[in-house]
Amino acid sequence: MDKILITGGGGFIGSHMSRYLLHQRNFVRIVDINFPDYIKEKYYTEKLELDLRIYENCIAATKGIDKVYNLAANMGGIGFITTVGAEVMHDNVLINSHMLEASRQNRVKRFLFSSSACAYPTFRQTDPEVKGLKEEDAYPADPDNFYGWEKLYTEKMCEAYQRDYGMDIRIVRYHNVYGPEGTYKGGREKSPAALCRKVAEARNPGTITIWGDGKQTRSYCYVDDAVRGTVMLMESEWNKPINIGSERLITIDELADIIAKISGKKLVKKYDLSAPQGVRGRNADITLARKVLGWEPEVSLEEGLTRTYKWIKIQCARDASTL
Amino acid sequence: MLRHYECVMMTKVFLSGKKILVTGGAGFIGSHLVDELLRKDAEVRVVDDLSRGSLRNIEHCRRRIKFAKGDLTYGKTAVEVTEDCDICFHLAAVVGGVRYMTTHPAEILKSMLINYNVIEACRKNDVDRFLYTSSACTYPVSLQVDETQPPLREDDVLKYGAMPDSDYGWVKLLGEIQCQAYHKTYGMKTIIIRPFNPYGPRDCFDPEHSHVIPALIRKAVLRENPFYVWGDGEQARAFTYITDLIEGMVLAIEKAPDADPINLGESNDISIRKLAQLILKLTGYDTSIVWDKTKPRGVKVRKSDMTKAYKILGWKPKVSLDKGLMKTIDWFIKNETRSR
Repeated sequence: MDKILITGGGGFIGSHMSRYLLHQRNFVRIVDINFPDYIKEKYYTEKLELDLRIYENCIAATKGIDKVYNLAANMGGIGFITTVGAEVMHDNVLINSHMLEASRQNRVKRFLFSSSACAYPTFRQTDPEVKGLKEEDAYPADPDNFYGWEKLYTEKMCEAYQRDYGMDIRIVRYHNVYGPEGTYKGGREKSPAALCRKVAEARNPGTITIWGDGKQTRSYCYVDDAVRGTVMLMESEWNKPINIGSERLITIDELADIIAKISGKKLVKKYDLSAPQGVRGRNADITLARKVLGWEPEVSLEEGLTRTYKWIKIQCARDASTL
Repeated sequence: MLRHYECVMMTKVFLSGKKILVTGGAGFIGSHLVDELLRKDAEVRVVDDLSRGSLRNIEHCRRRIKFAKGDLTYGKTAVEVTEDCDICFHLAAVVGGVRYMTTHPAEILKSMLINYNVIEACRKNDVDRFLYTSSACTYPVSLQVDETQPPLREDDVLKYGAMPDSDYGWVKLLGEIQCQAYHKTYGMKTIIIRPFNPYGPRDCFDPEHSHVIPALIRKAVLRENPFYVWGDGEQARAFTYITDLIEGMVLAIEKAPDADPINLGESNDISIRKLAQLILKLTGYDTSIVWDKTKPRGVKVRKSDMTKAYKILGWKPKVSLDKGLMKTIDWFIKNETRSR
């Protein structure tokens, strides 16, 4: 049994991660600045409400811990990270610098940092027919937004802690993780959740609005797959950045069509060309994860979106009834 | 000449009476900046943790400034020292020569925490202008591999993707990105300058931390034998004398508040071989150079395109390398050899 800390344990990936590790009979401490009320069951061993931008709180969080999954971050979908650059960078640099140093001080055995596909350079993502991004493609660096720059910085910081202090580091680069119990409204939601919400709220027949021209491409990874891959990485000996994502490239248009089909609604798509759409195309290359972890995604996009849509539909219905 | 004179007079009007904070103000660059700001009748405060800076550097003006010893890795310190300030020159950082940078990456990267605390404190306290001291170390290695390559232009840093050659370069670059984020998000007036190898009196002469000029001056003045120089002497650098750099910084604070980086450096470079020979000549030390090829030597060549600095600031360096080196040697002999 390991004593595990999950920062951001009230968040989307963090709560799924905690449930998974608890089922594996670990001691799981979760820390977050706030906890949404989606989940009723106790999916953790211990829960602390702490602001990890403050160093002393990071020390309290890491006390007695063997392994840290550092998932806490100020983040959101494309609409959020393209507008609030300074705040995102500031908060995340503080959280990550303090968490690294506190983990060192408390002699944590292993530290996993959740990086992002946003760290990859814009110039490799200008075409919808994009080739999958390999881990080494991150340099020379040219992230599309301030969020991506911060992720790169913390990766460097992790590497430095590894070299200087012999700290055991794991770095996962997530590519568009989606699933139930994630943010679906309020401006921080990502494209799959946002589209599920729009479809759930639409009349039948009705219309939905898509950001951009719908031809931008992405690949999406279901949260259960991402969690399983992350734990496999933590338990492996691989101490360099690694992609966790899917290689199935689809357009936002196709994504909306799949969700519409799941809902059974007849929907007309409208396009908001003034809305942010991020890089033109982004796909993951997961050759490395296959090779060193023996991991690849198992849940199909149709299956994952069905589960996600079902959950978001219930949330939307509840929101509507409490208005 | 008239244009230059006008510029200098204007900065005096601009800075006079302003409350100005210099972080890292007891350091090499910081203390020279403090001197210049006092000459422009500014109200100067200094914060420094004295890890590398020294009170000796500001002793002569100690009564005319407010000094606080403080560690800016604490956000609270940053908020306290920026209170009620008009301008912040942010120079505090973990720095060092080639050796320190390659052996202490985690320490070097902690500068980022300082950068964040200070700019955020400036925002909270409505500081009007924030100058960030970046570095020539932000440029990609690929543009510094042979002497036929043109001097480095400001937009080269991101043109082909960022690829600085050291953690120090990365942290400096991320500080720039942060300035741009604050400029874009909050409309904050941020100034980014990239000094190229500044040198002069009060530079760090400690062999553990020193850059090439003070390291060589020290060895030459102390008559070290054999006279080791790192690398093979073929690498080249463009050096900037400290007073030239300071002049560029005070011009930039007024004229370049749009988070657009400006080089403050020379386009004329000199090989480390010629530099070592020149220092031996100026110190009157007749010996032969022994090249230590096992030591880090940094990039092959580094020189600055000066077009933007001249266009926007009307700035050009004035002090020749011979003259600057001589002043630096004199200072070292007077101040650093006495206690030995």
